Amino acid sequence: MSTPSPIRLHKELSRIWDTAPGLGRLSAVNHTVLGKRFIITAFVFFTIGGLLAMLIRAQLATSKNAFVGPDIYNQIFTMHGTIMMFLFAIPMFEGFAIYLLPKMLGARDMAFPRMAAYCYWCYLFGGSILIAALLLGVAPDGGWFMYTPLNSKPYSPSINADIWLLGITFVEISALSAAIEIIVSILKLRAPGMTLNRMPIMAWYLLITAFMMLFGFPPLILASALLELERAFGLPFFDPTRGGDALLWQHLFWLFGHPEVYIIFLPAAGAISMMVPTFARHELIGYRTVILAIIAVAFLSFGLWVHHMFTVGIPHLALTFFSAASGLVAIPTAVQIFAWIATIANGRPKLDVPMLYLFGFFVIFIIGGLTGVMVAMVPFNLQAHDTHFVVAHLHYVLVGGFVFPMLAAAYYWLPHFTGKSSEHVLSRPAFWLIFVGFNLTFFLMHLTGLLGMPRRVSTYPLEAKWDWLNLLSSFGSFIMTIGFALFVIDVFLQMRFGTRFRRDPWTAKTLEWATPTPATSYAFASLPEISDRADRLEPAALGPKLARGEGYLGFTRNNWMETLGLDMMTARPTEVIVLPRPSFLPFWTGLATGAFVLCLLFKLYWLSLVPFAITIGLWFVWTLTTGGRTDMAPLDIGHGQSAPPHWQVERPPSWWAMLFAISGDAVMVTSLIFGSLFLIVVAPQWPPQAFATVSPWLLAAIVWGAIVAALAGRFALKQLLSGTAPLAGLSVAGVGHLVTLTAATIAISNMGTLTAHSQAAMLFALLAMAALHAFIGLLLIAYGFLRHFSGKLSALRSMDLRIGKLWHDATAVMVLACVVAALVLQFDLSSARLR
Amino acid sequence: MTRSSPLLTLAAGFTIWAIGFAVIYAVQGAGCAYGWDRIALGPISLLRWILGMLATGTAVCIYLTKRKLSNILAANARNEADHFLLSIATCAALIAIPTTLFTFAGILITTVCG
Repeated sequence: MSTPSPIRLHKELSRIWDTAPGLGRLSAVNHTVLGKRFIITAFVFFTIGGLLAMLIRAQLATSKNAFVGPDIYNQIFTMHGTIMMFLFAIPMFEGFAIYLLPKMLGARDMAFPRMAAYCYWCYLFGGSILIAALLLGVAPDGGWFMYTPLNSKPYSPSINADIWLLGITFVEISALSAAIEIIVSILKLRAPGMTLNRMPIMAWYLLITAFMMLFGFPPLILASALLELERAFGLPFFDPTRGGDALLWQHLFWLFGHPEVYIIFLPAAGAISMMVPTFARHELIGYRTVILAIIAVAFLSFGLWVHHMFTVGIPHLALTFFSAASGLVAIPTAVQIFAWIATIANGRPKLDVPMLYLFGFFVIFIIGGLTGVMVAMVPFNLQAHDTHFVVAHLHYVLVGGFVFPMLAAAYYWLPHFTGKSSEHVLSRPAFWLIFVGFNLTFFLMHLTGLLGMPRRVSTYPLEAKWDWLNLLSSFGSFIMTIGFALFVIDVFLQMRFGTRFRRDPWTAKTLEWATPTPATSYAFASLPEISDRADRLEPAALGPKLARGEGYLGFTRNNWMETLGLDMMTARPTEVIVLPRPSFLPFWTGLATGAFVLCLLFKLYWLSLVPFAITIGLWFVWTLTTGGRTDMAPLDIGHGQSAPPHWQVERPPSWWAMLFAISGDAVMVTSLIFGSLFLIVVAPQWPPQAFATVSPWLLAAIVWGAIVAALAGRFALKQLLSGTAPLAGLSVAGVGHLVTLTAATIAISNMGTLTAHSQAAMLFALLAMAALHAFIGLLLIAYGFLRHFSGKLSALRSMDLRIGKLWHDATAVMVLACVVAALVLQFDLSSARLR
Repeated sequence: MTRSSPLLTLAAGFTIWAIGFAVIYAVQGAGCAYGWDRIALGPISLLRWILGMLATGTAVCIYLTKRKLSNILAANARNEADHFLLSIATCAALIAIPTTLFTFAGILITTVCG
């Protein structure tokens, strides 16, 4: 196809890719728009969390302070932690990832734009529920890690804890979807020639972080669901008087909670790894070693969750495992720090404002890392546990490891957002106020902690002699706040009065600076071919060539929003990915999902079925515009090459998304099985006096149905590939899932009371998990029929059935695992214990 | 190897470590609950034997994986990207071995269920 003139190409692409103004903004699916929305919304939540922190410091400034009472104080510190962890840090990183990734990788958008929009609405609505609760005085008040039994019904009878459990789960599902989108986008949507070894280092950081989210969040989602079931229906998963165990919550929470620290730190480290080479004017030293270090950090971070539980009475040997892993994780973290220092040392560094903030990062994060090694050691931990020393440590790690790098990143990429270069008049005083204020606030908490001041107390006696330290600490926090206010003013002034520039104001070497600035909705008028590492480019020279349409896809076709999909390993173009146009569907689906959550919150369970059905119905509507009704010849992609549309290839992005979703699902099922075994082995009131049982015939039917569904799903695909309508295979697969669903429902209804003992409750949870898998399987069968009758299936267009096959196969395995665990739960193993 | 398998090998060494970690922690908990630490097998308890063997087995599995990866790297790395990923995978497996030994060293030292 011929390439139009650069201006005409720009106009045509803008017409296709731009979001409509006015109310049309609600239909935005573009990564540039959504990335900015995530970042701005996260910063608003950060401001709210910061204001709550000011209230905390005002309360603790002096002894016996009556500024706020203990009830309000409990809500304030709980919401401060919750907002900063769930509504600021993760979404801020998601925002940066969504905005930057396609531009760094040489793509026009993320893999699933509508999913990104849906994630945003879920995040906004979930976060708004929490903020509304705060304004109404019913915010969560049991600490941001929601320990049981404090947050169980007898001790938190009102709606506060439910708001956390449902609101945060809502936000977490959004984060999980974003993780899958980030993984698929990195693996499939890069510029041709950008093999994995040529990716910018930040893509590696984001890829591994997204995998950590995929495996870290399901235990928390499961734990939240179990605790909500306990609170709403009395199923005693965490009640030690009825066979549950409060420690099960702690295990599931920290299995998420500790990797979460690295999930927050690693994207920031990725940003550092982009900025340091630019300002050192030297490419990153140890690119390969840094990737190795990230992998080591990612794995080790999953092996140290118990260091949050050192004081709960776990045997010494187990403590050594977690203490050792906690100490070890410092090594790969230090490797990254040394790589940055070596890069600076080998280059010709210039101390611009982003580097100033990185200097703050180095100082603060290293102090936090060193105190981290201290609390990793069991004897010290036993002394410092739940004191202000830990508060100081975690703020040094999180503010040092995330906030300072993000401030640096904001200054670094602000010209990209605005198209205006920076005049750093206020940036330096803002830095020094934040840096000095932060250290004054939190360094002194090491001392109050060592003097024995517990965390989360609303006041303390005069006799403790902590007044002067706390007063100074509070004074420091106000200095820090002034610094942040100055930062906001500075950013606003730069957006308003900064001077315009063409491209690449920092003379960086990465691809995002080859886009027009401020970025256009389509990012690149044509896609580049990468023949070297993507941090060795010349964006100022490359950008105009791409704007002239000299790269791939330098034209428009059928009003399609197109980008290229690649073979993961060879980075050769394999498909033209046709992305969905702007749509209000993600907004309405997010609203419907929000309504579903609100129904659960107000215990309107029957009514909740309405928004639930609407949500599922809207998801089906999403699919109406995807795919094609006829087999197409390969499409021209420029440079004399061609590739088929993505719905005609064996493994398009949606196939990979399903595969990764199943991986996260497997973690959820494994966590549930772990919970069952944990209660059998550890719970104090086990075994129950009377075991709840399920007929072996029903269990057999549950497994049989799932296996039939898997085999029939494969048969349906085989039918389609051989040119036959897959109706028989789909029908039998549907029957298989229906058998599983029905048998599990009958088994649950025959179990009698579920509230007497956790054995019955766990049995219910396992069967419900099996039923849920079968239900989703049925939806996919319905989807298969829908696609068939709308003419979107053929031997060449088999993507939808391939995705279904993945789920049916996974369901068979998961259901079998659940049923085996259910069988184990029904046996009294206590006789095997030595008396 | 399949097209995407070099990517999977990146996680091989530490995945074995993670599985070993989960199994050893679970067996330790179950062994203490069921009293395996009170069954003497020679100079040490049955539970310590089991844990020691599991830790050793984990290290051996990682070593064998590392050796396999080294062989693939030497013989079959087809292109720059494969070579890059396999070299990182081999190093990751290599460092997973001392990680394993250090993480589980407590089996030799401390009380098993105290």
